[in-house]
Amino acid sequence: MQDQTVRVTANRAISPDFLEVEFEWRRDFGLPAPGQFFELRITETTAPLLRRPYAFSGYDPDRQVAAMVYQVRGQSTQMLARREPGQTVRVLGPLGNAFGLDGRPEKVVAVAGGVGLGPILFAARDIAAAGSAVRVVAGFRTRDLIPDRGLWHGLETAVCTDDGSEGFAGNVVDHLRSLPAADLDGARLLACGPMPMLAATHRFAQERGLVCEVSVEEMMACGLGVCVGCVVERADGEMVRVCTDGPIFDSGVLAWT
Amino acid sequence: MDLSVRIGKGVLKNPVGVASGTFGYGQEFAQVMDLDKLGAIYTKAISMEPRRGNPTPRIVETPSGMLNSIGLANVGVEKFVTDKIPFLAGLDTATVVNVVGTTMDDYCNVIKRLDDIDTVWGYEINLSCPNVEAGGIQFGTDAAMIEEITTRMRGVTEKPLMVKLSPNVTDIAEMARGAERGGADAVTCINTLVGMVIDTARQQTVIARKTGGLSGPAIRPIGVRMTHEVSRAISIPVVGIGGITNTDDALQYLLAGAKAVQVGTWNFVEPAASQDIAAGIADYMARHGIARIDDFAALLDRRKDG
Repeated sequence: MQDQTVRVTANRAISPDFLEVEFEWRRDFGLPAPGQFFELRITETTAPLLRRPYAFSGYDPDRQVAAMVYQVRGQSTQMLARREPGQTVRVLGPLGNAFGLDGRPEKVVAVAGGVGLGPILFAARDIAAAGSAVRVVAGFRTRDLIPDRGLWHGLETAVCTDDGSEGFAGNVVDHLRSLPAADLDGARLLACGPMPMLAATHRFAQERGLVCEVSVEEMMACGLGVCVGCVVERADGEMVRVCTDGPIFDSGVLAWT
Repeated sequence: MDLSVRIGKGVLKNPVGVASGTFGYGQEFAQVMDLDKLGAIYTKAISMEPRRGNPTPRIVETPSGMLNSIGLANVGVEKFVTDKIPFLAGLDTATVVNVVGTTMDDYCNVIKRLDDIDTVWGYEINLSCPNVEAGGIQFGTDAAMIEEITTRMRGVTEKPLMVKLSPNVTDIAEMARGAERGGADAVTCINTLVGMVIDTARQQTVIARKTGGLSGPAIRPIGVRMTHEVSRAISIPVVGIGGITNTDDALQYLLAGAKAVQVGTWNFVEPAASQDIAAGIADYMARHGIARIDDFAALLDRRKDG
């Protein structure tokens, strides 16, 4: 884990909703694994004050660049969207744990909601490269928000839209339910997206007796485990930190309310 | 030039510390900085029993600051002794344990449990946490209560005893005098200011417990002003805290009358920033012919407009 000032190498829109930024990440910072995140500082002033946590969407060890898919939501992401190749940002990472809590699964269904697509594709590529069977299920509100399909080139990917304007009509869990039972038999589910989607995926996994790893998001300050802002409750009542105990959790250990 | 600071029977090798609740138990930052450059590490608040803390959301960003309502989540004193002390003991920096409780006995019992451990340098008594139901700020907004609890703790330790003051009072100097009368060796000035942020789309407060403590650069002018006021009201040292991000910010506190400082919220933003501040202070002292930390106190008052 390192705290470094690095150059942006690319920053472009990949859909009307998503952008992807690429930035230098030397091997000696530590190799980012799918599911891990970094804390980004975009300014040299005190506003915005706190860094923001983002999950890696890819890492290229040859070019030594890391990537992240994001959505413009507030002041920090607005500033990031204006950052051009050659300009710098501060990055602290890699932070947190990675998908594959029990080692690399043989068969995976990787489920993405919205901007959760970035880390899910990173995980899917990593798992496919290792020779496991992997299927991606990606949900979007509507057709216009679906990014360039080149993003999941070479991966078996099902696109779902809430309004039915393209691909499967319904959300990602509706799609999972529509699959033949054999397709999911013994599969490990990985999920990254909004909390309601994670909760629904968890419930589905429980019904089918599947293990589900979720990537959890919570308001975070330090990313190092010290501020204790980003906690979630475990089923046993313990509060655990998303930044250092996660962000990937076996969904079965969390308290879902 | 001498950067050391005397507090009670103890000496800090330099005036720069890292604030309770912003630095964990030290270990987390060892990967990104040299902890031995610090004068002191003020630990996360320690209570007799482990505390799980408040519901989420616990934090939200504000203009050049943040609100937090963590609720003193900590591992409890026993686990602190077995799991955290060994690492801290290996550092060339003072371990100041921030102590919290829900009753006066709680506070005293934490100190009694720790007092025989040589590597515990001293205590910072948290009488000012705004985010818990019982203890903390309840004790810290009444000067007579501050005096009483400080007296009780003075009775169980000879180690340096600091009292962390709340700014959420009408007259912070009066609170500081209570701590001094009770036998404190120093006061820490200031804890967070109670604030609120409302999400207008959802028409509810962002922080689950509604209010949180405001910290960060936004409160620096308040911390400096209160340090100035308190350091003139008492004769024991003041440890200044609030919005320090760099050497210049720390110098403001020293010029206001502080003998030592703490970097707090900024540790979340630039985790290694605190390690350079002591050297920055030394550099400033060299340039301005200041021989020791005590000599800062008179500088502001010799200016007509100070």
